[in-house]
Amino acid sequence: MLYSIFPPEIVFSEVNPIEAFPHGISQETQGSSHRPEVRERLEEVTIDGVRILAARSASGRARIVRLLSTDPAHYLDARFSPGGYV
Amino acid sequence: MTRTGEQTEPTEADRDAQPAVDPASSIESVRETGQIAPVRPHRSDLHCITIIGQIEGHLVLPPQNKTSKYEHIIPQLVAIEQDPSIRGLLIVLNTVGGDVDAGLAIAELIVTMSKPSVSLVLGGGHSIAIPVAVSADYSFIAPTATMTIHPIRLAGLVIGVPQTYEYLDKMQDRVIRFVTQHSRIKPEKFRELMTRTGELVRDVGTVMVGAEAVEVGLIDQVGGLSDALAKLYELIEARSAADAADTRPRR
Repeated sequence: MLYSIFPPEIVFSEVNPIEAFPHGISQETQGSSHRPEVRERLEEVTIDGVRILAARSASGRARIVRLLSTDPAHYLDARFSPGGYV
Repeated sequence: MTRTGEQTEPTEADRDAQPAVDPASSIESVRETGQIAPVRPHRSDLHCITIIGQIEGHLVLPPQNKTSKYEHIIPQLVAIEQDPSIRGLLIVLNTVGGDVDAGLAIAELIVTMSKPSVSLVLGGGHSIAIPVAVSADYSFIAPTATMTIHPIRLAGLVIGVPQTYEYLDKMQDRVIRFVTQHSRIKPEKFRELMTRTGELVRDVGTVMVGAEAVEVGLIDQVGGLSDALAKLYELIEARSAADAADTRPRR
């Protein structure tokens, strides 16, 4: 059961959210139905005990998308900068 | 990694000349010699959980949703409670709401933690984020942050019988009871805000900005990061003073 200010037609749309909700999305995301960051396959990896959400590129490299750690110190560690490769 | 490509391979002397704490040199040492990077110089005694996007529960949401997942946050809360080196928890919320069960589960865990917790609502803390925001020992809201209270609704096939309404009311009561137990707002006031008309576009409910959430008693104080951290340290000090005074064995 969803209790959210986003309408279910946006949350559950498998298609481009613009089509489902043409007036509610900001201008800069329009016309980007094939946004690569959305279509990437994300996987969780653990490096030195730090959980990372990474996107696997075609070449097999894993790019850091998001840290799942709760330790603020991990966010200062240059190895775990989002956008970097693991 | 953000290192530039034009850098030449450092010589042995170059590497020795670099200070030991330089993160670039530690990466270099892993690359060159396979050594493990030096121990992190800083270890925080506070941990921070950031809840963003939709709170994801029973359903894996389609990829256009940015989500905070139940299965990430629940074990993190357990780990924070168990780790003796962690003294407090900061919860940062910028979320549009999400799964009722997952939101309430997270809120119930935070409420029953023995370690001090402080929440900070930034941007938005809507719908099911409200129980999460009030579940901390003390809550802050940024002056520009918003919180939307609106009725729970059913998606998909809804059978038009009185029982449907009763079921919805029961689900709503779970949220109302939790919020009113853990904040200063009264159930009647919360219900009134939830069903108010003329405030939201295409919906029933109320949106509150910064100080308004404090006025109705939902949030304790308007503030920012330094206020939240100062309060958290204050709670930690109070807790350790109480622990020192209490000589009984801890449960």
